[in-house]
Amino acid sequence: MNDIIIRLEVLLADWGIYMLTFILFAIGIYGMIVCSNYMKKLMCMNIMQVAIIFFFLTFGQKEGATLPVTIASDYINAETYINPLPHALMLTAIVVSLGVTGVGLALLMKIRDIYGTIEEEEITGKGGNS
Amino acid sequence: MMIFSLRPALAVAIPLLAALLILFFGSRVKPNTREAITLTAAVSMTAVIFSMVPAVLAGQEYTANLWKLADGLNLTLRTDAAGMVFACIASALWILTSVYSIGYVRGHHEKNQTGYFAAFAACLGSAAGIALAGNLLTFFVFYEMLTLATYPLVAHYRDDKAKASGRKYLGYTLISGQMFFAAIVWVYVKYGTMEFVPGGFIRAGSMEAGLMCLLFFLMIVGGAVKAGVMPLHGWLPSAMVAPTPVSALLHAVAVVKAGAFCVLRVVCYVFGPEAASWCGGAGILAWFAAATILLSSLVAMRQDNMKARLAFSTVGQLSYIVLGIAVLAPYSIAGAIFHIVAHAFLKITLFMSAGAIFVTTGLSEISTMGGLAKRMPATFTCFATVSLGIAGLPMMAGFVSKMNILQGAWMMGRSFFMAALVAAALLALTYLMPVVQIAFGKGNAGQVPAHKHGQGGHGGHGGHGHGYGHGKHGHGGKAGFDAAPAMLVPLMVTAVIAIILGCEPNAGVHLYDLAQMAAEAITKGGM
Amino acid sequence: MINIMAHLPVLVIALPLCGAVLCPLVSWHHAAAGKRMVMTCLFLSLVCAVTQLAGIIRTGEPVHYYLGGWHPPYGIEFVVDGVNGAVIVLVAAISWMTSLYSSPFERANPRKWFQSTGYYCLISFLAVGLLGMSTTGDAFNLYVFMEITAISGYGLIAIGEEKGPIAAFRYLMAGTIGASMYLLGVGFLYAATGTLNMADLAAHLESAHSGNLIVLAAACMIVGFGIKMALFPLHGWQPAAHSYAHPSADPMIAGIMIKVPAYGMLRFFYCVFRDAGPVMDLFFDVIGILGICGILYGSLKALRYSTYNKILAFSSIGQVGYIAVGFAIGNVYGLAGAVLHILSHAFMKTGLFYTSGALKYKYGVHVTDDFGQVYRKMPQTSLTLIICALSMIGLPPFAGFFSKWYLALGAIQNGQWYFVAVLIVSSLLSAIYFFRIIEKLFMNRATVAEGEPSHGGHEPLRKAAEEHENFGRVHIMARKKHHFDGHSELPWQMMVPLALAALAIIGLGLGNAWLVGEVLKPTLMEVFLA
Repeated sequence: MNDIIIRLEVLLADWGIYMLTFILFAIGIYGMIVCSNYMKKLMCMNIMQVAIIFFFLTFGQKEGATLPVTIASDYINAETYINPLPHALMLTAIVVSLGVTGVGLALLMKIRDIYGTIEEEEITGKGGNS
Repeated sequence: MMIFSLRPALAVAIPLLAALLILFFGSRVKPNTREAITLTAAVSMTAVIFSMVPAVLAGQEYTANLWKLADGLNLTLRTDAAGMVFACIASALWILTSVYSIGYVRGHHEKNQTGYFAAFAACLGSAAGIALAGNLLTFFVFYEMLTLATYPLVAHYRDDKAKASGRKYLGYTLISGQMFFAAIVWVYVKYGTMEFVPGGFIRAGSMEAGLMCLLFFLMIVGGAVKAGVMPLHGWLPSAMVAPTPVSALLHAVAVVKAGAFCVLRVVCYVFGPEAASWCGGAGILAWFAAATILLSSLVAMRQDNMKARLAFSTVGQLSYIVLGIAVLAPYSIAGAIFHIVAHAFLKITLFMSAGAIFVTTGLSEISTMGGLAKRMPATFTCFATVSLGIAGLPMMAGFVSKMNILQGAWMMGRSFFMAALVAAALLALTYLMPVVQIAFGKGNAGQVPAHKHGQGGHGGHGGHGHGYGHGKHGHGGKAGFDAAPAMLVPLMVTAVIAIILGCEPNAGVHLYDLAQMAAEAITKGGM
Repeated sequence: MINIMAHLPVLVIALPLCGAVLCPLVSWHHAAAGKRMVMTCLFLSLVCAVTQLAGIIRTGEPVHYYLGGWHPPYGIEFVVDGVNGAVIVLVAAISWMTSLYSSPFERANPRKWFQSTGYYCLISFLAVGLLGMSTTGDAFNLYVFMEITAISGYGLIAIGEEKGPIAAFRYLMAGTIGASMYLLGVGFLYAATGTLNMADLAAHLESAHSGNLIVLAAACMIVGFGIKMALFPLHGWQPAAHSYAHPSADPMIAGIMIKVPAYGMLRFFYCVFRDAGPVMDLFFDVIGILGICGILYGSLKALRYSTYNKILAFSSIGQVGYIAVGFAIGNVYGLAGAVLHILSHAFMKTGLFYTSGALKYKYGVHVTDDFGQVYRKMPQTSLTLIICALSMIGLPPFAGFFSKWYLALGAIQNGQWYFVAVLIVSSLLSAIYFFRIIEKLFMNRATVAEGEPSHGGHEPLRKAAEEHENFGRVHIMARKKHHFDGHSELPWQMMVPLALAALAIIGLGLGNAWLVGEVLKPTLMEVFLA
């Protein structure tokens, strides 16, 4: 019994955060497929993107390491820094996701102008059967 | 010996260029100018092709390697003996059909004449390409171009019936073309070459017999559909809705001949007699051809529509060629190649007669033509003469080729095929002679004023190949003797040539010698 | 003096980028200036792309360009070899042609400053994204360019027809999932190797131990690229997006927006995952089956529609299947066929959408039943339509036949005869739907192209269009009436791209041996199949 708990703890320590990220990702995808409200779809899309950002940040993390900022007088060994690259990448990814969300919102406004609603069923019921 | 020259390319390029010219400028210039393009192209193409004959007879080959068609494969045009026979026929007959077409479409007030002449020229360019193609890929490219160029002609009238027959034509030819495509890819990967070699480059035993047989038929189907070998002949009778010069083109000049020529290329230049008989494909093909010869004659007898009867006659005659090739004897191959010539002149005369009758009087059903010979004596004299030729009577072109095929079958000991050939000759008499009999016999089709009769004929039997251009039928022959000269002269010329070729097969450009040369090369001097 | 030749890879992308950014500023001063600037920039980009490809062919060496002088694996690297050099030329050419093609639409349909400028901005950004995707040698940079492409694509689809915003929104959902999957795959790869440069990745993956992670990454990549290239069954967004996009931008969207991700997939799997153990086997199986299903599904589905754009859209799903099959064949000829098909299908589909746009522009028709006799009024458009359609079916001597030829050659070399069977079936199916269109064009009774040419005048046409409106199936463009009264059938800005597309198809068909033998085959042998 004790053994199992220890193994579970190790598993969670190694993989727990990834599992949570994956669950977040799955929730996002699920919501995008299931929700019939376009706004909710867009929000779920954001959840999915956040999950990916978490994923990158998580594997860039290193236990006991410090911020990757070098001060000229106080140079420490590179191994003691966490990897800065995923953070840099995710900065870009966040910008991209912001852009996509903006476009999505603009589209929703346009859809609302045309159809008067952003509920999928009502729109497809109004003849847009594609 | 090879002569590197652009002349073969010129022969193909002239009609294709003419097609483009007609397409782009045809509707902007006067019809006479447009037709001048057609005729100029026809004459110059014929001149180019005939100018190459002497060297080919002397055993040389003009070769044009134009550019790389695909990685590792050239666009090669080459004048071997068999190809020259086909090219000569196609180009020479183009002149005659052009003259005839001009008479026909004007007499009949056809619509869309520009597209018609452009497609006609494109067909001839493709046919020349097929004849002179030096490898399988070049051959296939022109073969598919022929399919595409013929489609607008078949569907010329653009009504429901024309649409249906156009679809049928495309269905048959495209499906078989794709099978051919798969086969040439297979051949290329397996043997690494695509050059036509007399006697073939596929060796017996280089592949499992069953697989080779499959390969053989994948390729043969491509040719057999266009050649109308039963059971793949379905498109040919329904293509009858097209104008008569198109039927002449389909049946005599380019299309079905291209199919027969495809069979020749595949059996004799890709597989070779040895491999073709080893895998069993040629034997099966011969049986199909023999069955077609007999069945088509029986079907032809029951057709009352003139063009339909002639169509089934074509189905049978083309199978003579296929049978001659599939028997694999040197004489039969030479006969088959020469039958391309003989049948071309014979059948084109018959179709031009049918068209002349239709334009002049509006009649298309045989049973209504009683006594018509009084009004169109010249046409029907030609018709009668040529009918005898189709049946294979001596002194006519058909005799020479059929005799050779028969001799080949005798040499190979295929007595059933001999019986079939003889029987079919008699059957040909039974379906063509009644037409002559009716026309020269009693009846008043010749006396009634033409335009009235044209309308009457039209109302009576609208079911078949006419019913287009309502009420315009009678225009051609309100008065005057026989059909309009533009139609009458070509058909008389072809009839005379058919007789000359029967008496002296080597008259003119030695087509019979060419056929024999080809057969000798294929069978490695077996003649 | 700066050596321009050394900076060609980046110039190709930077020029349209400058055009896109400066377009609003310039057109603030003069309405048409921004438009002209975008066209000029795209044309210069095309010139650069051609020069670059010519240089690569001459030297036989790929060009490496290190952005900011940072060498890989630290900096972003642009790599241009024979294969993507050709794709870059394709993208640049079609972008320029489309920008030219667009201007009459604007005149026929005068929009406000913002919209017109925005349109050219988006076209230019779309070109930037696609060019970047084909140039970059960095996995994350590819993601960024992918999203630039996608966002400008959403915009161009949304400003199209009435259903455009819905189609764009759905594409946004699917596209974002695709891009996120790709990003996830990049994350896995980075976690496994610690690098993002493709060449470096390939070297690390050879010795990487975490096999499962790499398989997972490959699966993510297949889904990611698959969505972007509309590979069956990930094509859900595509038919609506291609049907309802703005008619003048549609040629570009349908022509190259699904081809460049296909090229990306080729690059990723054959250059990065090549030596990564079980990945390639998985890839061959999955992509082959999806390709076959896509070919059959797309072709069968296209049979059921009579809306021109829908037919073309579904036919694209089938044609992307051809490309996928080429990847699954995986030998030199298979890949050469796939790349040639990327190039030739781009021109064919672009050409077909040009004709679609032209028909909408002139008559407002979009249902093939209404095409009757239109060829009398629009002979050149019809000729382009026929050439493109015959090439799509795969009939010689057009480009489509030869890509099919190489695919079949590769398949038979591998003994995969079933691919050949599928290619043939699909050719025949596409023959059915394309000849149906051609038949309607030439043989149906005239509906919109009323009257014989001798009647002349535009009155009958307008009347026909109005009558049509009553039947309630007229396209949005018909209501905003065009007033083109020139001598030719269409404004020259539309005629030139139409003619160029047709010529490109014939040229690619007749010159395919040179392209494959001199450009694609050496590169494929050295880079992709080494």
